[in-house]
Parts: sequence; C-alpha cells; structure tokens
Amino acid sequence: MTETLPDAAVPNPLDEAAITAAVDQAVAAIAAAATLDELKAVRLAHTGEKSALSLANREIGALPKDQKAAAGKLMGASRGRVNKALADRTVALEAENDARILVEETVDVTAAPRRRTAGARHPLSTLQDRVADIFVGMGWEIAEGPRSSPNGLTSMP
Amino acid sequence: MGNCRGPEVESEWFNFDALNFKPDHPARDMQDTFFVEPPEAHLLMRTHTSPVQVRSMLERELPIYVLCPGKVFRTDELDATHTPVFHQFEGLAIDKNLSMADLRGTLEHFARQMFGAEAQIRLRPNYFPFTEPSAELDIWHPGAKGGPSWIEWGGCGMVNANVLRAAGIDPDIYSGFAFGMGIERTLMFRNEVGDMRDMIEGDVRFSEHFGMEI
Repeated sequence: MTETLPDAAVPNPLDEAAITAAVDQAVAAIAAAATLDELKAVRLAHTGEKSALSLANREIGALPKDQKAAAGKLMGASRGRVNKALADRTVALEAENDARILVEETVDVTAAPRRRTAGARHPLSTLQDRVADIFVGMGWEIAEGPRSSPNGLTSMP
Repeated sequence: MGNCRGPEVESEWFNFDALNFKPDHPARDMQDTFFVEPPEAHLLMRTHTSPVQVRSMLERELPIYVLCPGKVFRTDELDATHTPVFHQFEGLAIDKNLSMADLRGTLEHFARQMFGAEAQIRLRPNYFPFTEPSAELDIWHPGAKGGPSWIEWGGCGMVNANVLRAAGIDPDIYSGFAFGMGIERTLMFRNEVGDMRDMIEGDVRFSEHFGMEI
C-alpha cells in the first residue's frame, strides 16, 4: 500500500514506535533464550530476512531523500541494540554451557577403580600339583589321605 | 590311587616307633609335637609325612613308588620362616637293587624339572632315624637373594632296615630310598616369598600374583 503511494503524505512505514516495539520484542526474546539452540532460533526470527527489522530496513531505499538519513540512523541504532543483545547473550550462554560441561564431565581421579579380578589358586596348592605332576611323569603314584584317623592305629580304607 | 593313605591325626607308633625313633630318642623331643588327649591313646598331630612311608609299605604291593603330599604339625611359633601347620611331600621307593645312586638321580631329575635344566643338587651326610645312610639335600640356587648359593631343601636317605622290618619287608631282598621337602619352604626360595605368614593369611591379593600356573 505504502509503496503505491510514495509521494503522498502517508505515515512513514518506518514508524519509530513500531521499530522500537520490534526491537524490544527481539531483546526480550533474546533474554528469554535459555540455550544456544533457542538463541539461534530467536536470532533467525528477529534478524533474519523475513524479520520485521529486516523488512523495515529494506524500506529505507523507498523513502524520500529527506527521510533516509533519519530512518537509516533509527534502523542502525535498532539493529545495533539487537545485535549487542545477541552478542551478550551468546557470551553468557556459552560461558554457562562451558561451566555445565565442566561439571558434567568431571573425573574423580581419587575414586576407587572398577575392575574385575581374575581368580587364582593358592600357590601352595599349585606348587603341590606341579610336584605331583613331575612324579606322575616318572610313573610314581600319589597318595593322599583323610584328615584324621579316628582310632589312630587302623590304616584307612 | 591304591589305598595308601595317611591321616593327619596319627598314632605315635606310625609317627615315631615304626620310623626307628627309640622311646628315649632325643629326636622325639626335638620334634616338638602336638599330642592329642588323652595321652594313653598315643595320638598326635603328625610331625612329618614320614609315617605315610610305613603305611605305604604295609598297604601296597611291592615295588612301591609313591609320593605323599600332606599337612604336618609342629609346635613352632608363627613367624616369617616358621608356621605350626605346614606342608611336606614325601617320596618313597621300595624295590630290589635300589641304591643311593637311584636316589640321587631321582632328586636331580626332580630338581631340574622344578628349577630348570641348570639346577644342581648336593647331598650332605646327616642323621635321621628312619634312613641309613641319610643326607641333607641342598639345591644350587643361582637366583638367590644375596648371590648364587646352596640352599637347604630337604632330607633324604636309604630306608633304614629297621623301618623295612617294621613294615614286614625283608631288607635282604628289598631296599628303598625316601626323601621329603617342605612345600612352603620350596615356594619361599623358588618364588621369592619373603614371609611365610603371607601364605597363610588368606589375602587373595597374595594368591592373585601367582595366577594358575607357577
């Protein structure tokens, strides 16, 4: 509509109140972004090609010459506010992210290790078997007995 | 396996008398024995695996070639090199025409199997009631702490004729040899265990170090 009537005394499409509202909205959204991913979405919505500010910026070219300087100044200041808010929030969120990762990935070097141990026979048993093997290899017999002889004098069965 | 078995609670007869320890023999005191009540039962915790020699001879057909590993008991205080309960293995061979040379050959073979082809043994004359002649067995230990040296490993000898007679074997036809070593002691110098108490405390970390093969 406004483009079709450039020379008429129509309201400036770069309405200062509307721009300020858009900037406030963008700054609020940036402040509300809780993660870097959310911030990225906010950035696309408020500074992308289809955002209110970008569209308004494109209007500058169509303005009468006497209004261009003021409009350019307004848009520059507006976009500057948004970009500063974005940059500040990015720094804050990145710091927050780094701090969180540092906590999450903490390694307690003093913690007891988890290990599975292989079992082992008592070396006395192992050595005894080794001795027995050597003599069996020579054709000897191995005699092992019960723990006690109840009547002492009777040989065990 | 046959039926040769030796109890740990043994009769005094098998532990001393049959092995040619006279009733007043000083070795009976030397042994520091745990006797079992009542005294008239003449039972004791065997002080060596030697009574199994007698049992083997009584119960087995000749010839005999038998090895008996077993637990033995003496009233020693527990320290780095003594424990009141320990293990021995006792070898006994009874056959015709066995001599000291057979004993030495057997021990030499055994030593090389245990300590490698370079192992050497040495027999030093000694006295045991149940063997005659008797010898202490030393082994040359090249890796001993403090440099290569002879280490006392066990006792051995030709079975005393009185022991053969006590077991009903004619010493004019048969002869035999016997030897005995301590398993704890063998483990100590073969695998460099400095303190015997480590072997009986049951700490699994001690056993883990040796694994399943030594």
